[in-house]
Amino acid sequence: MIVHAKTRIASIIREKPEAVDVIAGLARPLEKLKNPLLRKLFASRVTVADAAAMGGCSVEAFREALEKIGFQWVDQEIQQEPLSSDLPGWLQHMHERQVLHMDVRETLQHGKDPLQDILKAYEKIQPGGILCIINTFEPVPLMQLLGKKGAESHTIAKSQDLFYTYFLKPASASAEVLQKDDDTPAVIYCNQQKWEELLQQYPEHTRRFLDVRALEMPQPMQTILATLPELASGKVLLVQHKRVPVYLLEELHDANYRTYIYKISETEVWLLIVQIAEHG
Amino acid sequence: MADINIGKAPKNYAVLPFYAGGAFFLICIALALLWVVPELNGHYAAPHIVALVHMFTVGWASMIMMGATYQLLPVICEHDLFSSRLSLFSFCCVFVGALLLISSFWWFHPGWWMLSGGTLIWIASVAYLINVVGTGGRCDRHHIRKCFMVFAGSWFVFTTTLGWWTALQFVHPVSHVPIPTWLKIHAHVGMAGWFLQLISGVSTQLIPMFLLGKSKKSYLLNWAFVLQNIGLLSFVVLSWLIGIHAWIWISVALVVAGIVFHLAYLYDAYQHRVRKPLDLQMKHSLLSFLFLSLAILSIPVVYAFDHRWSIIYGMLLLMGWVSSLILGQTFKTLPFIVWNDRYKPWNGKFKVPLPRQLYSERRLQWQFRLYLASWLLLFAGIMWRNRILDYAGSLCWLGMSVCYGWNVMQILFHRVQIPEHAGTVHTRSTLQRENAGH
Repeated sequence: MIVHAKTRIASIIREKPEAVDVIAGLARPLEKLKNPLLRKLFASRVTVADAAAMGGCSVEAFREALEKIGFQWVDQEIQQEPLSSDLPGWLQHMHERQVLHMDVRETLQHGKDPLQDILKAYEKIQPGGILCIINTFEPVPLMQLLGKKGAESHTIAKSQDLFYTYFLKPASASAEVLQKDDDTPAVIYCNQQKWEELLQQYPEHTRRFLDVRALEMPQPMQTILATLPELASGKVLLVQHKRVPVYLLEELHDANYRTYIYKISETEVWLLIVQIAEHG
Repeated sequence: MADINIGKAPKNYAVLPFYAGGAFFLICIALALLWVVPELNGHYAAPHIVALVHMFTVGWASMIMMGATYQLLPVICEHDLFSSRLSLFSFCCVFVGALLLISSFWWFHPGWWMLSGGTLIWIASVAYLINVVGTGGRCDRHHIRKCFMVFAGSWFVFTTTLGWWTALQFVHPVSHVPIPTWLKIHAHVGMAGWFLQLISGVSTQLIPMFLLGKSKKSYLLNWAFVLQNIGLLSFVVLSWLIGIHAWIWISVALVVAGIVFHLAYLYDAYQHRVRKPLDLQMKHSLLSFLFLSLAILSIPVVYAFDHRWSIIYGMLLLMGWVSSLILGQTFKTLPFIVWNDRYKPWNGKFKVPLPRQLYSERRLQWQFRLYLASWLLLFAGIMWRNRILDYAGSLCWLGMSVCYGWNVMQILFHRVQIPEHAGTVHTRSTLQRENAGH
C-alpha cells in the first residue's frame, strides 16, 4: 500500500493491523491507539501528518516506521504550520470570564468520547466567547470540525502531555446569523425543524391565523395585506397558502416584514409574517 | 399572477426562450435603426422599414407576448398549460421564421425565402392558438381575460395567414384585391386583433395587481371585448369588400370605443390603488397607455397628411405602446418566474434574495431614461427632418436595448447563491444540474 502524509491512520491500520503497535511506539501520546475505542475514535479522523503533530514526532519518523513494515511511502508536500509561539490577537486580549474551560482528560481515560459534550459546550457559549479544551494531545480533528463552523483555534502546549486548545466562537457564528439579522426584513425558507422551532418561538397566543387557500387570486395577497395592519404589536400572522406568493414577498419586505416560508409540497405552503421594529 | 401557481406553472423551456429571443431582436432593432436612419423620412413601405417593423412586431413583441401568455394563462385558468413542448416548438418556429422573414425583407427577396419565413411564423401562431385554446378550454371559469387571450390567438393566426397570403401575391398574384389593401388589413388585424386584445387581457390582470388596486367595474372589460372585436371584424369585411373608404370610420370608432373602455377599467384600478408611488416598471406601463392614447388621437392626422405622420403613428404604436409595456412588464414577470424556478427545490433555512435582486435596478433606471431620450429625439428628428437627432435617438435606443438585454440575461442565468448557513438542503444536485442546463 502506498502511503503519504495525508493518508488516514484508519486506512493504514485496516491494511496492516500490526501498524497499531508500530505507531503507538513512536510517541507516548500515540499509545492511546492501542485502546480499541480511542482507536476507533481517532484513527478515522486523523492523517499521518495530524498524528505526527499530536504525538510531537516528525512525519519522517512515521515514514521510517511504516516503511519497515512494508508500506510504500510517497512524498507529498505538506504545508507545515508555521511554528510561532506568538498568540493570536483574540487570545492575547481574552478576559478570563469569557473563557469556558473544559478538561476532557478524565473522560478519555474512562474510554468515553467527549466530542458530544464539547460540541454542546461550544453551542452554549456566546458568540465572541472562548472555549478552552484541556487535553493530553493537540485535538486536530476537533480543530478541523469547529473550524468548519467558523471557529478560530490555537493550541498551547503546557507540557508534553498537557495541551490547552482555545476555540474562538465567531461573533457571527453560522447558527447565530439568523438571530443576529432579526432586525432586518427578509425572506427565509425553513425546513421542518426550523419551522417547529419558529412556532415555539411564536406560541399560539401571539399568532393570528389566516387560511387563504380557497380565495381566488389576487385576493390572498389583498387579504394578507389588509390583515397585517390590524395586528396588535408583538403579534405575528400565520398564513396557510396553496403556493409561494412571489409578488407578496417584495411587498412585505418593503413594508418592513420578515417572511418565513415553510413549504410542505408545491400546493401546501405556510407563511409566518413577523413585523420588524423600525430603527431610527 | 400575484401568486404564481407553482404547481401549475409551465416548464421553464416553455417560457424563458421567448424572453431571450425578444431581447435578441430588441438589440437587432437598435442596430437596424441606426442603419435605416437615412430612410426614416421616406415611405413606410421601403424594404428596410418593413424589415424593421417585422423585427418589432414578430421578433420582439409577438415573441415576448407568446412567452408571457404561456406563463399567465395557466395561472388565470388555474390549469396546467396544454403542452410545454408545443410552446417550445412554437418558439423555434417563430424564431427561425422571424429571422428568415426579416432578412428576406431587408435584402428584399420575395419568393420562397419570404414564404418559408411566413410559413414558419404561421405554424408558430397555429401552435400558439392550439395551446391557448387547449389550456383555456379546460378551464371551467368563464373569464373575460381568457376570452381576450383566446380571441387574440385567433386574430394572430388570421394576421399571419394574411401576411403569408400577401407575400404570395408578390410571387403569384392571384387576388383581385390590391396588395396595399391586403397589407392594411394584415397590419390592423395584427395591431387591433393580436396585440390590442392580448394586451387588454393581460394588462387588466397584471396592472391592477401590481398597483394593488382592483376595479369592480368588470362590465367595462366586457364592453371593451365586444366593441374591439365587432369593430375589427367590420373593418376586415368592409375593406375586403369595398376597400378603405369613409365607412371604415365606423369600424375605427368601434375599436376606439373598445380601447376607451379598456383604458377606463385600468384608470379605475389606478384610482383605487393601495400602493401610491409607482415603480419604474409601472411608469413604463403608464407611458405605454399614454402612447396608445396619442396614437388614437393621431389617426385623423395620419389619414389627412403625408408619410411622415404614418411613421410617427407606427412609432407611437410599436416603439411606444407595445415596447414600453414590454420593457416594463418584463421586470414584473421574468424575475418572478426565474426566482420561483431556482428557489423552488430549496428547503433549508436560509435567506433568499428578493426577485428584484436578480437584476440591476440601476440598469433598469438607465433603460427608462434612455428610452425616454430616444423617443423624444427620434420624434423631433422625424418631425423636423433632422438626421443628427435621428442618429442620437437611435444611439439612445441602442443603449436602452443593451441595458434591457443585459438585465434579461442576468436574470436568465441567475445562479442560486447558497449561504454558508444553508442548513439542510435537499435537492442540491438536481438544482445544480438544472442550473447548468440554462
